[in-house]
Amino acid sequence: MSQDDEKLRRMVFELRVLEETVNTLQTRIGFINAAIRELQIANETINGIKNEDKGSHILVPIGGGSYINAQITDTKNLLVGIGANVSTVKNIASAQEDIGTRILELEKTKNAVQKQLEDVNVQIRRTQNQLRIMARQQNEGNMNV
Amino acid sequence: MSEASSLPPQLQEQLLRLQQLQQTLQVVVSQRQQLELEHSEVNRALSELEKITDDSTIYKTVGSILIKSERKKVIDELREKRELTETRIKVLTRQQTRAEARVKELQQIIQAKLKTSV
Repeated sequence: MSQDDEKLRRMVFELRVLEETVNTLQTRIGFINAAIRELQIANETINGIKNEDKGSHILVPIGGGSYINAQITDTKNLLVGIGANVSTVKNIASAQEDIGTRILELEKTKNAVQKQLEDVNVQIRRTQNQLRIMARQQNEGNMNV
Repeated sequence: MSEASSLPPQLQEQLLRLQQLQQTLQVVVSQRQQLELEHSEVNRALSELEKITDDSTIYKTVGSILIKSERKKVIDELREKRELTETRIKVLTRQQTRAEARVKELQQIIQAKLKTSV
C-alpha cells in the first residue's frame, strides 16, 4: 500500500467519523428543541391557569387525543419537577422563574452544540476538498504512467 | 474480495480486535456520560431540596404516578444515590483510561505493520 493510499484511507475514515458526529450533534439539538418546547408549553399552561378561579372546569389530556373532566383546586401553587424523579410544590411565580431559567440554560447548551456542529461542518468541507485534490492528483498520475 | 481480507491473518485479527475495543470504549464513554448527567441531576435536586423546609410537600415519581414523601427521607435517598453514582463514574473512568491506552497501543502496532507491508 503506498503512502498516498494510506493517507487517502485515513481521510475517508476521518470523514466517516465526522459525519457520524454531525448526526449525533443534530440528534442532540433535536432533543434540546423538544425540551425547550415542552417548557414553553408548561409556561403557556401556567399563564392560562393563573387567571382562572378555583373550581374552574378543565379537560386534562390522558393521551390518544382523549381528555378527562377535572376541576382546578389550587390556582396559586404547582407541582414542579426538580430532577432525579423528585417534585416539589412551588408558587406560580417561582415555578415560572424556574421554567425561565431552565429554558435559558437549554438555549445556552443549544448554542454551544450548534457552534460545535458548525466547526465539524467546516472540518468536513476541508476534508472533502483535500480528498478531491488527492483523487485528481492520483488520476493525473495514472494518466501519465 | 475486500481489501481487509488481502491483509495477513494476524493483522486482520488485530484490526478486528481494534474495532471491538473501539466499540467497548464507545459503550464505556456513553455510560459514563449518562452517569454524569444523573449525577448533576441529583445535585440539582439536592440543592433545590436544601432551599425548602422539612414541612414542604415533596413527591417522588414512581413509574407514571407521584407518591407523597418526606423531605429528609428523599435527601437521604438522593445522597446515597449520589455516592453510588460517583463510585460508578470512578470505575468507568478507570475502564475508559485503560481502553484508550489499549486502543492507542493497538493503533500504533497496526500502523507500523501496515508501513512495513508497503
